[in-house]
Amino acid sequence: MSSQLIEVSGLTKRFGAMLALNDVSFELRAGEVLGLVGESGSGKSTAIRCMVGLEKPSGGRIAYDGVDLSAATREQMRRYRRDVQMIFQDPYSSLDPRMTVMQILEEPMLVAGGYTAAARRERVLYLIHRLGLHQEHLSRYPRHFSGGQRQRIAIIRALTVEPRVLLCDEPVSALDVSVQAQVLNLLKDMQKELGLTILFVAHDLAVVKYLCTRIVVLRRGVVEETGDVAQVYSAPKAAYTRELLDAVAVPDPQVERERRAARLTRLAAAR
Amino acid sequence: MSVEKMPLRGDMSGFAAAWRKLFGFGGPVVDRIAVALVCLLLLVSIFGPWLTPHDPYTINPLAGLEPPGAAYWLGTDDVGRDVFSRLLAGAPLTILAAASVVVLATVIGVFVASIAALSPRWLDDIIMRITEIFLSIPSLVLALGLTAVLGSSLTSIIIAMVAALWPGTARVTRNILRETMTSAYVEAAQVMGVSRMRLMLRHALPNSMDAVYVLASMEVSGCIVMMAGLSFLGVGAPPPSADWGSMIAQGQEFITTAWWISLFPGLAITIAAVAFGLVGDAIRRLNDPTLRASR
Repeated sequence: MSSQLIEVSGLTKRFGAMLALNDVSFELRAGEVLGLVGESGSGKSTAIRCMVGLEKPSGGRIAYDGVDLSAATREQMRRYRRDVQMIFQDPYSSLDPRMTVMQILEEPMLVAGGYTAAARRERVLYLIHRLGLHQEHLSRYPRHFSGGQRQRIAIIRALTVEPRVLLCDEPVSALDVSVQAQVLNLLKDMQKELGLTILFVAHDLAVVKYLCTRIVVLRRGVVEETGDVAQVYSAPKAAYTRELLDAVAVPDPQVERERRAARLTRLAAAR
Repeated sequence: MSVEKMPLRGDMSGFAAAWRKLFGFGGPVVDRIAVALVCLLLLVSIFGPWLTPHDPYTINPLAGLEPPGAAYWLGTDDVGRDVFSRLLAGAPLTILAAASVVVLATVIGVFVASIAALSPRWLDDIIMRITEIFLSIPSLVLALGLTAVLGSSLTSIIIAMVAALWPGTARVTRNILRETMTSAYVEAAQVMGVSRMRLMLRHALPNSMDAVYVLASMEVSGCIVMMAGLSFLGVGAPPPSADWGSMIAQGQEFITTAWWISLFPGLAITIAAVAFGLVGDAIRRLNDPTLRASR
């Protein structure tokens, strides 16, 4: 098995005159958690949306297991849709408000096909217990759940069809800080337990450091830096990465004050 | 988790919730009156023809132009027919006809809108431009023209009204569908590989129908007025049928001496139109997300 699961090369996306992605290339290796970071407007969401077909790339190619998606057969596309699941940023809008939790969780299996009603139920029950929901939640509607619970439902939905890859578009940024850690731990546990490959889009570098093994730094649609998390955090090559790292708050007022002062002097010198 | 003990208030299907809000403790009085009126009107238009105290069609010159009284509650017209009986007999011709026009127009409109919303941009554009061509013809003129071609009968007036109404429904519904289809849950379904058919039937349409129901119930009142207008102009159901518009027209020449002939059908039309309009408004408020707390 090649270690390279998804390969994005020369990906370009234009919205009118705006160049959202300019020749972006990175690879997603089997079993890793890759962080895709950048400030808002840097194109990280656009990249993920191109990867799942919600946006049509203006140029470049995306390959899964060596198969170019733009030239994939129906069967290969079906497999991709099943193997690669996505988790959206806002769990308040990514679950259909008119469907019960059971209906929501069953849908990927119905679409993928090959599950009997009993098999679907068994799979859903196994996952909801594993991820801390209860059987009686199945007949309720998304509006009855908190943000953290909804995001857990979204994660269960993604896991029902036993995917190999999870594409997470800022899955915790819409959540309360107190539940962010819960959801992150859950993702981390699931990643280890199921050997998932995860692409994790985020603007919060603290979250990325906690979860990811490698990171890709995007700025205005261009890849600024790629590397192992430890290496990028200790010795960032690009000035932009350094800026992003400086923006992360340190939970120690003394250190934070010194860092802020250092940042100001550096900015003054640059001017 | 604390969810287990979460109260399930408001956890009802749309209809039950709507019913409870309208008749339960919270609903505004106006809404309750409007819903009661609409129910009454629908009952009358179904059973009215069997409840007439006098025969609505028998001519009785001896009892012509009787004012409202004990024998004839709402008076009689120039040839001695009971106005109240004729109102009851004419109710289905006005209200049921208007309701069926709106149902048909909504079905056609939603169907066209679904196809447009699922189509690629160019086909969507073509469908919507054709719809707009229909929309640009004044509906009264279109209805008059069609009844002229099809002949003056209730069927042709219904066909004409449906032809006049569906483009509006199609346009509004298509825009709502397009908007619903940009929501994250529809995108999530797309990413899963849900077929376009299922996307429309399972996700986009159910989440867009609230607005369609509001539009439909408001259209009923417009339709009642327009059908009355058409039969007032003489292109409705042929005489001696007692639809409310032609009753007004018949009473026209006696308006100074026998005002009851025109006034009561006029009032009936007004009440019906206002009641359906208010119900539409009530449904809109029930579904308004800014006012919807428990749903």
